[in-house]
Amino acid sequence: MQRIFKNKWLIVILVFAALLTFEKNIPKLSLLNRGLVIGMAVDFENDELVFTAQMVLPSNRDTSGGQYSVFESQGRNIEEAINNMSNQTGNVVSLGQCGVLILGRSVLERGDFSSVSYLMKEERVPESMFVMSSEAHAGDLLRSDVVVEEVSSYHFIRLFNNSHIYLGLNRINLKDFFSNYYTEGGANYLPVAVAIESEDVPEQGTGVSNSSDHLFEMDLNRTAIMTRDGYKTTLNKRESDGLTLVIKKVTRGGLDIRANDGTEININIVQSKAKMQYDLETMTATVNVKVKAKLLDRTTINGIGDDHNLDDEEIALLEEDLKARIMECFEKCKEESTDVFNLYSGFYKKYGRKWEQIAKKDYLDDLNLQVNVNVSTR
Amino acid sequence: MKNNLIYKKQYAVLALFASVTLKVLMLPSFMMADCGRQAWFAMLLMMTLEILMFWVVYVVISKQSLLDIEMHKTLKYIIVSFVFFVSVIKGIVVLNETMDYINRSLFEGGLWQYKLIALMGVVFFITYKGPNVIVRCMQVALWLFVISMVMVLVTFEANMQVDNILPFLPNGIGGVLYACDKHYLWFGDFIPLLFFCMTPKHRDKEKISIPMAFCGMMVFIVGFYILFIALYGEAGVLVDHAFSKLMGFTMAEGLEGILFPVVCIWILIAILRTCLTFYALTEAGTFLFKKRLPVMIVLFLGFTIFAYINGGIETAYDIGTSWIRYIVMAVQYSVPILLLVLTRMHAKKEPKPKAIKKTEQKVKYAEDIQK
Repeated sequence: MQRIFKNKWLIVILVFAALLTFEKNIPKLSLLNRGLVIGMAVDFENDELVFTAQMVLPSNRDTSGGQYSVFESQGRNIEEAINNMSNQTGNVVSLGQCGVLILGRSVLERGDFSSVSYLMKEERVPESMFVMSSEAHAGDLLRSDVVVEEVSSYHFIRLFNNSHIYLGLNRINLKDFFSNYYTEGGANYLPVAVAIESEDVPEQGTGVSNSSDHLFEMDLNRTAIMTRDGYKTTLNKRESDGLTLVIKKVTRGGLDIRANDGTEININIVQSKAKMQYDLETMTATVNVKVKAKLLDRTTINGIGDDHNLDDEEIALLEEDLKARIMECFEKCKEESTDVFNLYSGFYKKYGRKWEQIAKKDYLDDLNLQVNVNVSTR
Repeated sequence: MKNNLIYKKQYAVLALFASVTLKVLMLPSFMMADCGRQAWFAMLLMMTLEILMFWVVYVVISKQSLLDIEMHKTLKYIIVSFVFFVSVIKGIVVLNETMDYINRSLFEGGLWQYKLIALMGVVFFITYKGPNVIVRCMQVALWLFVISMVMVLVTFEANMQVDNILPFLPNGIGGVLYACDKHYLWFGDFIPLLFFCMTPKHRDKEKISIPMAFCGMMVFIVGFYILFIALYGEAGVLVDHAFSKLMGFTMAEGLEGILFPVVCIWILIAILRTCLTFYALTEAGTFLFKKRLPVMIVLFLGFTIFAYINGGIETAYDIGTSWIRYIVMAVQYSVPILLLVLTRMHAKKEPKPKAIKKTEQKVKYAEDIQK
């Protein structure tokens, strides 16, 4: 028997036979039979999950610009909806290249994140995929033609996938979304996309148009706040700025402030960094925000000013303004009993069981938030 | 028996991969489900025990392999039978986890049973070729792994909160001990190494590889868990294959494709780790039932049929966390210590035992062949 196994030809034949068996039983899909999803949206309608996907459909024809289509399917859960879409379109839905997931308002209001949980566990879905929400039906955002000559999914990915972190744009990916979701007492956030109709007219035959008569601009300056129970509130631009300053390191962003004499000051935020401190004795959480800012221009009643430095008075004004943005964000969420800056988690990490014993259900009412903003212009 | 002599540095590589390979796949989510963000501390405790066992096994095999140690025949049969049993249980878990990892990393459909047949073919061949092939392949994989890890670390970019590991043991150590006890089967991986023997010629020359393996194991595993917790927080319970997921955060432009080679290298290491367990099974089986090839064929057919019928990671997890783990635990800790005592006793009686002579003969024979 040993001799049989030392026969190299027998081994070659065995390997060949095994490969043939393997070859016949592992499905091989042609690229032409795949629907490469670049963006997807999830909504609920009448207790059914509606799954919308923007796909690139590979073609054997020489087409410039590619072929993009939006498909929709329904199911009791996302897995069933994806299977239904594969059956309906005749293309296997491939999520490996998907760059953005849009959750409709109905998903947030129901607080049903099981679809996101499924995607998180799915091996082939990239965790760096951005997650966002829409003001209304998420599928409609994928169908919108955007002003720049690209499909909506790519447009969103390009806006989020930037090495800079912009003030007010609270981008988040799948991994961080779930990391926040499991944080004790904490809140989660998603940028909200609002489609604003543009005066531009769509060009036909570009391969990216959905043949609508209108083009849309996407406003992403609002932020939806939710907890595990579901949707809580939506922050406006100023409040979103406040959230960005506390939870992210901003590397770019512009804001306008008005001086007491009516001068409009246009400022560029070059860099910001926040550090949290917690004191259980005084029940105070302190946010220390360091900001580097640069004056872009100053418009007075007499025209554009020629001074290119912020003076002390303007720096104080800017510090007050940024502090106000952070407090507005905190207060708005506090009204909804939502701990937007994850203060519970911060105290818990520092004080452990001691904090758990002290913290009541409505602990936010007992906490003080102190904000210190330090602006430098160098 | 095939030539089972290894150098000290080869032992270090074998021990390193035997210990770390499966601890970074599904174990992180299992541990987090039971002790949350204290999983890193649980790993620190278990790795300390692991390193102690690593040292005991090292001392034992620096003299003789398990099968060469002179002891009462009945006692040897009992010890090898226990080792065989432990290797069967370990084999079920290791094979299913490796299969699941390959299936979910490389394929998007198809019957996993066919992939199992392909995997078993590879494992059979490598095991049949013997320990030297396993060791050499692991040495090659080590450098591929080191290079790819450096690339990943250089380009790693993700939102991390290292303070996620705090507070330290807020609810006492109970949860940590429970998680360690429940998942014991993923620890104490040095039983297969008892079938190897250190080359006497190189026994004392090489000083650095063993301490490096100690540090490598501890730093890699504890560091990996801290990184995992910093990235995911409590959401780590949702991450099935932690290693693949963590390697995906390479955001540097033009290097996005780095993930796939790293995963492939880890698949190679996981297969070699499976081969190591099957090598122990084969050697123990050959000692008990005498004929090597028939034992191998029966073992491989048995494992394939079992995995085919009852396979899947769920079955493996159920077996791995059942009461059987206590037998595994008892054998894994007691056998190396018992062998250590036996070798010490024997060394006192006879300054130059026959088994060492045998080993030296083998070295001489191997050198003659090389010439």
